[in-house]
Order: sequence, then structure tokens, then C-alpha cells
Amino acid sequence: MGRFTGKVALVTGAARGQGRSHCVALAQEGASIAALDIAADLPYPRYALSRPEDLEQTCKLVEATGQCALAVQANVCIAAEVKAAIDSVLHEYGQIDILLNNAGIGGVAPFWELTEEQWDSVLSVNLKGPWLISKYVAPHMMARQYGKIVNTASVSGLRGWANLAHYAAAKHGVVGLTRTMAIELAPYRINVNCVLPGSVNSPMLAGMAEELGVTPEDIHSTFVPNHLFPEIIEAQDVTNAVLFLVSEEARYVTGHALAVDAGWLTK
Amino acid sequence: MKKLEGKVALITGAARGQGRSHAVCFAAEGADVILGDICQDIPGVPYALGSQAELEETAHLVTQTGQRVLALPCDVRDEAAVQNLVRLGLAEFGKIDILVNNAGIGGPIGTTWDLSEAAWREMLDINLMGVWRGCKAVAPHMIERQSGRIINISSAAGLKGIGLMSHYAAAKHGVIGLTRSLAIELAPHKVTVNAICPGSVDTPLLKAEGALYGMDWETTQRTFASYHLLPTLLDSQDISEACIWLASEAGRFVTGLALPIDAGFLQK
Repeated sequence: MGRFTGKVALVTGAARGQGRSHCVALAQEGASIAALDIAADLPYPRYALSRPEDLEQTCKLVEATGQCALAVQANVCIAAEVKAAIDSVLHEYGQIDILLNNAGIGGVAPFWELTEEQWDSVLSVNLKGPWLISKYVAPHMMARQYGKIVNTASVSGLRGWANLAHYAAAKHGVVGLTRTMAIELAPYRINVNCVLPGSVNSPMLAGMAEELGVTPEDIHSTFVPNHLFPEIIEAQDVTNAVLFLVSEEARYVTGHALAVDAGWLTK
Repeated sequence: MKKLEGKVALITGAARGQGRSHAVCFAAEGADVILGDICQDIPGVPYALGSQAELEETAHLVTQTGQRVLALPCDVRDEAAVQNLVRLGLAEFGKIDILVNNAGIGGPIGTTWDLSEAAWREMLDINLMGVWRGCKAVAPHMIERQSGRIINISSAAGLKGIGLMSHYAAAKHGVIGLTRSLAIELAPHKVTVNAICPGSVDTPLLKAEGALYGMDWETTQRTFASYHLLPTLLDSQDISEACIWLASEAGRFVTGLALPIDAGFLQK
């Protein structure tokens, strides 16, 4: 019996990267998965976001573990879409035990060159998104007096990151949102934490490399010296931390910002 | 109007460096000062500490501002000595409005697994327990007067690890924990307690520190400045200005803070 047998997990940004990794790992330990993704491009970032085939592929990988997968296409910044998405998950599964607010975008420019549209896009997806999803999932979890929520922040949720001002501002905001949600949801026995990944081998980093006209390897070699362990982090490493936070092993861990950063914040 | 007119401040580690700067800057803002320093070397600390002559020079600089001064040897490892400095200061000036726990050492240095237990104990005894002894000696008086400002000198190493200085970083992290707890305990008595976290400051201690790493003074200055976002060393005066802000009327609602004055070291 897996750690998450009988649980239902809603994961945003599930079509690829860390989101896909979270979905598959949760399924391997017995959870049914609602895989939510926009599966379409946005005007910003400049790199390509996931496609419906990516989301289907995540569902196939989940199903290959023997668990159920439900693909949900929605934009986390639009309340009506979020509400409809959560209704469809509850209609299908009847419950949501675990929520992973993982969807996020990035972009590279000095803060004085960012346009208002770019600023708004990153703040919407990376900060408003987790709040909106949580807003609509929380009442359900409160009624059941059970829930595990993990928001994906970043090392740049606790420190500045040159050329990613909108991103760092949003991720600092996610840490504040997490801590506040933890206080508000504690009376309902709901744990709320966030993870702070360092530089992860991911489509987002690859997208940022594309934006800069360099290869993912180039961007990795730029970022890894920030780490105490000079290596790129894999999605699975973040997944391992997320699974701990949503498991019963972490039942008294709440309001925490857990770095999976190869020592970046300590360096 | 001077910012500390009519106030009395007790400052430890006042013979030179940041402590001397605080003494002279506080006096220039109208405070009388009670000064302590160890005035002798410690066998396990591999550089010269503040001397009697240096403490007297600080006292002399204070009197030149027209303020009163009481300067005495005081080893912060010795609770009786700290209590005695407070007692004599109160006898002389009748009150203590401001306490600056500044006394501290920077070495010996070494990897965590090479540092001796003696070196570790000495560091904690001075840089953490010394601060606690100062707070303990002055708190009852401040509680009685329902007024007071305590400023503990931590370090950027109070918020971040530093290689080869784990004992120092542990002590300085400890100062922040002490500060935050004391801020809670003393808030009902209208006493504020804050920590300041300096980056690398141009002081005799930094010079000694560089020498421990085998660097001459020029290399020391260049190396430590390069750790800052603003690539320059801090002056003791920069730390004094922060102390004055916390000790003045402007800082009345500021408590429990760990305030970096670090040229951006912690953000780099």
C-alpha cells in the first residue's frame, strides 16, 4: 500500500517538468491524479508553453502506474476557469486531498526593461494563480478537515535574482501567501508549505535559455556555480521534497519554506 | 537638538574599532558614556585585544566632545565584572538609557573539525554569553525605569554561515535568538532590543582577521570588500549611525530587529 493510496491530488502545471514528475511520483504511491495545465501558449513568456499532447503524456504516465488520471485544461489566472476545473475534479473524484500549486513562468530582463504586460503576466501566473486555485479548493478541504497544500516558490522567494525581478517579486509573494494560508487553515487541520527549488533542469529554464539565444547547457553552467553542490537539480529532487510535505510523515510541518537548492541559500 | 541629549549609554568593547566609534558618536549626539574593554590579551585569541591605553584614548576623545565618561577594564566573560561596570556607571550617572553589547572576538579560525573545544568555548563565552551578561546586568534597571534601548552587535554571520568561522557564526546567530527573545520579554516594560548585523568593517579586528587568513592589509581590504554588493568596506561610523537611530526617539517602535548594515553582503 502506497503512502497516498485513496488520496486525490490536484497538480497545476502538470503537463511537463516538475509538475509531471510530481504527478507520476504521487501515482506510483497510490494517488489518483487531476493533472491541470494551460496546455497552450500565453503572450508572455516568449518561450513555448506546454501543448495538449504534453498533458496527455502525463496522464498516460500516470495511468501506466495503474492509477486514474484526469486531464484538466485551464488557465490558473482566470477565476471562472479555475472554478470550473475544480468542479470537474470534484465531480470525477469526489474529493481533493492534495493540492500542488506548481504552474509557473519565467522571463529574463533587467527590471527597468520589463513591460507592464510582462510584469502582470508573471505576477498573475506565479502568484495570483496559487491564490485562486487555493481559494476554490480550500472550502472543500475545510469541510473535510483534511488537506495538504504545497506551493512551488523558488530560492528567489527568499533572495533577489538579477534579471528576474517580476519572478522574484512573485515568488517572495508565494512565501507570504503560504505562511498566511498556513495560519488560516491550521484550525481545519490543513498543512500548507512551500518548496524553494534552486536551478532545476526544466522546460522553464530551457525556455529562458531560448529567450537568451543560448543552449540549456549554457544556462545550466551559468547557474550551477550558485549552488554549493555545483550541479543542476533534477525535477525528481523537488518531487521528493514535495512528497514528504504532503505525506503523514510531515503532519506537523506547516508554514515552512523548504529549500531544495543544492545549498544556494547557504552559499 | 542632539539625538541623544541627556542620555547615558554603556558600551562594551570600547577601546577601539566600532566600540570607540559608538562612544565618540554617541557623545557627539549628547550622551554621557560608560565604557568597558578587556584591556588585556587572551592566550587563545591569536591577536592583540583592546588595551588600557586604547580605552583611555577613547575616553579622551569623548571628553573632547564635552560629555562625561567613565571608562574601566571589563572582561565580558566575568559576570561580576559586568555587574560591577553597571553598578559603578549607575553610581556615577544615576541611570543607563542605552546598552550597546559590542565586545567580541574574531578568532582563532579553522574548519569546524579542527577547532578545539577551548576555542569554541572562548568564542561562545565572549560573543554570545558576553552579550547575555550585559543584557542581564542592565535589564532590571531598565525594567524599573520602564525605559531603555538595548543594541546587540551581531554580524552578517548571524544570518549566514561563514567558512572557517563556524564558532563565530554560531555565536552571532545566537545573538539574534537572544535579541528576539529578550525583545519579547522586555516589550511590556517599554524597552526595545535589537541586533545589528555588520558586514566587513574597517577595524583592527578585520585587520587581525585578514592576518589569520594569511593576507596583508591591502589584500584583506580588497578581499572582504569584494564580498559586498557595494564593493567597499564599511566604516565604524556606519554602524554607529544605525545604533544612534535605534537608540534615538526615531527608533522607539523598532524592536526585535536583526538589522543588516552590510553593503549588501547578505543579498549578493
